[in-house]
Amino acid sequence: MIELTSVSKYYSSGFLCRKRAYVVNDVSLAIRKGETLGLAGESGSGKSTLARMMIRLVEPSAGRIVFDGIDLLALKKPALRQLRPRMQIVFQDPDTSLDPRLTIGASVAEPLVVWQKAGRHERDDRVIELFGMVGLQPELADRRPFELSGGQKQRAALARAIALEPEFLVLDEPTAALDLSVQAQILSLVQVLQKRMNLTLLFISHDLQLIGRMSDSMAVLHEGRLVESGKTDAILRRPSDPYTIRLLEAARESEEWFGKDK
Amino acid sequence: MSLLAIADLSVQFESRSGTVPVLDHIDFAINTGERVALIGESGCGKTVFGMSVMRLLPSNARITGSALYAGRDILRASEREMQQIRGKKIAMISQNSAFALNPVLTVGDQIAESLTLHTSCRGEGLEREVIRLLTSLGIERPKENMQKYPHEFSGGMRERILIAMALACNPDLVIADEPTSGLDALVKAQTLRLLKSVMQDRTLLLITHDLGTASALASHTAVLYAGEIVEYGPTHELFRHPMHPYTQGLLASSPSAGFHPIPGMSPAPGQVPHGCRFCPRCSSAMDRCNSTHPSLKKSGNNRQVRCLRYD
Repeated sequence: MIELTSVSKYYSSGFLCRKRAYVVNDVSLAIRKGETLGLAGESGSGKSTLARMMIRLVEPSAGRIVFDGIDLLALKKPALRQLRPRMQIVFQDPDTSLDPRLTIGASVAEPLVVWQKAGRHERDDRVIELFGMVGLQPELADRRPFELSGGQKQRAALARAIALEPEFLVLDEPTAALDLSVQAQILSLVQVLQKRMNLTLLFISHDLQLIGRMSDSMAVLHEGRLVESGKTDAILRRPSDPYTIRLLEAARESEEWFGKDK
Repeated sequence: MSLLAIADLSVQFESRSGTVPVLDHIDFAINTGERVALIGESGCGKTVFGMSVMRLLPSNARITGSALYAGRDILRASEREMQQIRGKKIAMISQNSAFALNPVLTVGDQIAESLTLHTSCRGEGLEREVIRLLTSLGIERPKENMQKYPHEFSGGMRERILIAMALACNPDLVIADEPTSGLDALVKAQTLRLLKSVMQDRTLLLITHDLGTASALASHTAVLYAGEIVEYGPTHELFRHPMHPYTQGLLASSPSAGFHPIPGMSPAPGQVPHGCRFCPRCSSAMDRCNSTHPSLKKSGNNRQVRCLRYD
């Protein structure tokens, strides 16, 4: 579905821009249709930058990205725009990704308006249908983001992201700001939607437990470089890179109380 | 005897649209040397609990009940008395290290602040004490680092500085509000190890939504739901054999334990159900759960649970 070859992003500085600060350095990976790739790494490791390059919200400095056979970086603006509905993103913090002045219903309807997908009445029906798909009560359509809980806001962000029936969806730490029980709700919802819509997912998290639950294959990013990638089960069972091993140990340490009982 | 004994603590907030109850009839005691975790999800009232003990709630808060510390009720202490207690006897590690530190003061000055207020440490002695604190929290080159400003440190380092500030006057009780939130896995594990070692012989009230943090640090755990304590017991037992359906659901929704979500959402303060507050989301609710509000009852050794199934 999507394939990256030697993708890098750097910011230049210094005399004649000779100093380069690499945020993402020479990353190659691929996601197959309908599968989930888990992207792990700490803050500042380049996870979000990499994800944004995959849907060309950030321009890569070097490398090649192929989306469903299309060379993404060769596209001119109008062609890229035509491709946008096929790839969507849900950001970490719904407080900054939902427009505070718009009602939740208007936010979810916005992609339909922009793409003129439906007449006004059909649009309203579609919004209600989307609300149902993500488990939001239709009454909430008239509310504004500040009146909703974190979980409800993230459901709305998800509804907006799937409104145009994308094929590829990026989830950038979608539950980092949510409580444990809400996190489980949102992520089971994502899994249901993925099956129903045959979505290809990029799931970003610094939580290896979550990556283990959510993804088929995974990649670990450390200081902009890919240190490990492969099948999730295999990596979690037998990590080979020292950094992945440290991450796994840290995750186990803070979850010591599980496992013992099993 | 309890170091801090809280009885019948209720907190309400006055707002334009009426009075909003946030905490309801909390009974809670912490003995010297105990490390008690108060766990719960956003909006359940756990931070308000910590703030009410510190008497740091805004002026529209109405607090009733009592909180006996060393025999006197700190809910009725004057502001002058509180200034003698705050930082010196009861200290707090506040939530969110990025905002809790003053950006225009060096970290050395901030750590020295409570020492200047509460002890006779001055001049070189003060500096030695700050250096000792920084060193004990594993901050290298303390002499150089104490001259720096908060923005020059990483999140993990700032958390250590907050811990140093709280421990400066060797308080009897430390209240830590979400000390590990917002930290990466590796830094979190490090911070937990550090907290574990510095809190070894201290009394700690840990406020957190993170089950891992609670299990790593606390000897006892209280579970807060919609402004009430629903379960209390030794951490080990409580996590191994949770009794209250909410605690069971919370544990089951963590990714390593099956990832089974609790349906529905926590009620907003002021909109709690009449009977059991968890009833609408509970999979094992009975008819009377709808109408009867359960009380927190002893169950076996040292455990308490608020659920009609155990009556």
